[in-house]
Amino acid sequence: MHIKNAQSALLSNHELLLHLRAEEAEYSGADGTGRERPMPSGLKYVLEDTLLYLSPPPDADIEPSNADDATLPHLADLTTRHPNRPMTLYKGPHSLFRVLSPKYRLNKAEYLQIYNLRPTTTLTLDLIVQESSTRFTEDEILDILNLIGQVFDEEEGNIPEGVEDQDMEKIGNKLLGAARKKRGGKRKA
Amino acid sequence: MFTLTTIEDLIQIKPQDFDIPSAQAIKDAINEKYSNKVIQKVGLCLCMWDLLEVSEGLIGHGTGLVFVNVEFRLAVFRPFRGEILQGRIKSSSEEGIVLELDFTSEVFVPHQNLHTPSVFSRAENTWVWNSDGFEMFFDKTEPVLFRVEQEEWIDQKPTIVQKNAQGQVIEERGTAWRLNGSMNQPGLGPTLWWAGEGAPQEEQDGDVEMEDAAEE
Repeated sequence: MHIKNAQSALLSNHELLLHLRAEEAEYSGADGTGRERPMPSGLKYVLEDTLLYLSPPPDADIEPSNADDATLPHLADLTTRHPNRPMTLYKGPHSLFRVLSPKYRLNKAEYLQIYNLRPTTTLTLDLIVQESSTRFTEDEILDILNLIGQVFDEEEGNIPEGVEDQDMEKIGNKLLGAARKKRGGKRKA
Repeated sequence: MFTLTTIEDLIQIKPQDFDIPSAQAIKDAINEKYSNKVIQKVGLCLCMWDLLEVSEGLIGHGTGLVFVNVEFRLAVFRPFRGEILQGRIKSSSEEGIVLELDFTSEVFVPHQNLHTPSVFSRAENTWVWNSDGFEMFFDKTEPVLFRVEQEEWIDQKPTIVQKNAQGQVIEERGTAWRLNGSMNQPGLGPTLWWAGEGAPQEEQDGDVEMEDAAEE
């Protein structure tokens, strides 16, 4: 066994969730391709647990007012809003990246965390964006939060087909921002 | 949190599987081998993502197994340092708190990385944070936000045989990978604390006005 690239790509929770659901549908036959078969045991645990983590069933005990406290509630909301096209959040003119990058410099890790956590308060955004007080003013931070909310709330129906494959002009220096805090997996030789 | 790793490996296809499409047989073999396993320095493997390249099959001597060289991508769980993740408190002890993320329970927050000052309450087996006179509890099964600080890889050499006090061989192995986290910044810790507004206040249902327009 030979590891060619320990980190070829980063995935958001949403993308992984859709992939896992597709795998489960394939193994159980629900996707209609007739490929149902018993799953390897490791895969069974992985699918059960990770699907549980990424999209918990609504908890009967939690009152609606406390719904924000459930694990990753907005991911369930996201998958209903954008069930088949997570890419609209990443590519094309409706993506979060396109909306934020012309105005603000954020690095890749920060974008990914915004997708995964969807901050709604300056407090959470401060956790995600390093040194946010030095890089952005308070108004800019509020603006970022608003934009994030807008992009995520945009209804799927309003986004025309095929936008994620649109050729858009390259944004120069798109990975500006605070130094990437990766653990060094992408160090160039 | 999740990454893709490109791996090249030799996969064996059993003669029983010759009638199903080879892509499927290969996928099953890969999932069987890698799912739910930890690879050193790579992370916790979840499942195969896609196949990139498959070579021609060569039949091995004697067994009839077909060997194929496969290059594929695997979905792996590996948070990077400084990432903010959501989890649940599994248990607390004097050293710190163990968090679980449903698919892994190997996240540990040593007590130094909790909000200061925090005290361990032996009676309730929980950590308590005293903030301005308010007592905030790190309760079990609370959803929390934490930051990943570092990861530890523990090599699971097959040759090391561990014996317990009686000289009997211990079959169970320790974990191969552990994450250390922290919950000492505002915003980290149980989500209940920060759900209402910026400052930690216990169980207030939002009757205080928030300054952020984002929260409606």
